[in-house]
Amino acid sequence: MIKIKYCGNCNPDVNPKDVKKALETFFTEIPREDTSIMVNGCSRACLTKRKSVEEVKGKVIFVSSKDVVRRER
Amino acid sequence: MPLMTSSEYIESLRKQKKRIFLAGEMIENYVDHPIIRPSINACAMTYELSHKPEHEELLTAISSLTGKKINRFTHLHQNTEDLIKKVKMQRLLGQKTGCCFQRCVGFDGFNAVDSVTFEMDQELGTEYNKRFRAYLEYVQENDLVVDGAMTDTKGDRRLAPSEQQDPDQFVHVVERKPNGIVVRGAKAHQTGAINSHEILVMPTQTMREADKDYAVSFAVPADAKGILYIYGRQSCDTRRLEEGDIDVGNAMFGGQEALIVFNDVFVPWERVFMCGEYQYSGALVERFAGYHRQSYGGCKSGVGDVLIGAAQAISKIQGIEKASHVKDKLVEMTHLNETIYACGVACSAEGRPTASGTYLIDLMLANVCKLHVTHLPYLISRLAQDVAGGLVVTLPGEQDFKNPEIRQYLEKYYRSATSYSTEDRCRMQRLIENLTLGMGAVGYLTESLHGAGSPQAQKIMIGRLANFDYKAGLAEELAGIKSSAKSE
Repeated sequence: MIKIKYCGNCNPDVNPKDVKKALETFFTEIPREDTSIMVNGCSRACLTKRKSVEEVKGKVIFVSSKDVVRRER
Repeated sequence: MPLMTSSEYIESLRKQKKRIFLAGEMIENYVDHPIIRPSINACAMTYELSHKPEHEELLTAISSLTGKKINRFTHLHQNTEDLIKKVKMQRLLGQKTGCCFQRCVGFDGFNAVDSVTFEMDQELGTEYNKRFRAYLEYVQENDLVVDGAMTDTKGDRRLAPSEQQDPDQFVHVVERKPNGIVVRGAKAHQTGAINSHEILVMPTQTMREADKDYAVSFAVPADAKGILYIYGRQSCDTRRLEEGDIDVGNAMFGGQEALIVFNDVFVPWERVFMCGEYQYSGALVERFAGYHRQSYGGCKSGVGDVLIGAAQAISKIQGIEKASHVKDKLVEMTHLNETIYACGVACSAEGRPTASGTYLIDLMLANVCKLHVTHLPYLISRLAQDVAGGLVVTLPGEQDFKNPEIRQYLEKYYRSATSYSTEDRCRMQRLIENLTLGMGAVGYLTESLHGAGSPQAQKIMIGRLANFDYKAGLAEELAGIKSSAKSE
């Protein structure tokens, strides 16, 4: 299953529950073990800026919660 | 057990045998007491969110002591990113609970005690930091809640601790033994003390040599022999004893304060982190206060989010959401709330490492943050009440809605937008009442005013750090002043 990491969602633009549900549905259909999805809850994109993300192995895709929910619709 | 679940936390409290007095009576089962339980639920949220994938980035950290994954509330900040994450975590928890979740005081105490004891050991050759880190490792491994206890009762404010007629007005050492010390005194306004596993005591102010018995820092189990708690009353607290869940406004969550009495409590040396080194008491107070003033930028903005949301919701329920003045008020509330948050983030981003490696916030910006917090939540509350209307204080009680004779009138005359029930309207009004007048206002308003130090304490610090002469020099340079009295 694809690895999904969330920024922490302190003040998200979209309800994190909706984002989680959409991601789980989407990546059940397209499993990729070599890729990590980094989900930012708002435009501040904290996860994109965090040093710890640099250590993640494999391919890394950054998305925003809004993108995830828009994709589901 | 590096990460407890919320239910494990609640069960762990049952194992403690604390002596708690509420409304004149000793409470045997405090965990299930209707007045106390909401405050336990709020603290339990710090555990619950640590297990949620969408929040773990904020709620957990990798321990600098053990390399293990721990709850962030037991972490020593290792960089400015940690400091910022702390504020974000606090905002999130404020949003989820709508109240004080009580675990920050211990968190702030850890970081302050760590850096100060490290410097004491370097300069005095003591072993306080070694002891403290061993203690903190125990806290991290067991994922404990620790009450950071600073505020003494202080007696006559004109007098130093050693000058008080009653020497117990400040917590102090009454006996030194080969295996430890005996302490006496009390700590007031202790947020979450009853929901804590441990108490970390710190001196309340800068001490002089004559007050060295009062320069004491230590940790004890919260149910140690000689400790008792007297629960603080909150506005409208007995509503929690009534049937129903509407009139309390926030049925699930609440804050908590208590007076802790230390009646000759024994503390073994391995849990003593300062004992007589009065020269370091000021630094400990200043750093703890700084961290805690940063905290308010997170937690209060989170509760502010709830109140802004309540104002938006009640405007929809009452059919005024499209009125331009309502939108303007919601924007103003948001501007005020984000100002608090911005200060919390700013003092974190400008943090620096101390000698121990633990990061400290920028003290100037942390004090500015807290000074804003002493009044902006009052302005936000005023706007929320403005949007809500007078019903926030005139609404009949939940029991009235159950009376068959008058229920029809209440349902009829308190109905507003048809897409919402009368009960929906009552629930939202009660939440606004809770946050601005009731039990929630204890945390959102008065705690904002006095918690982590009253406004004057922040003004003193800001004045001390402001470097007015430097600013005067800037002005004099631009004004072309060249006299010998010019500021340096």
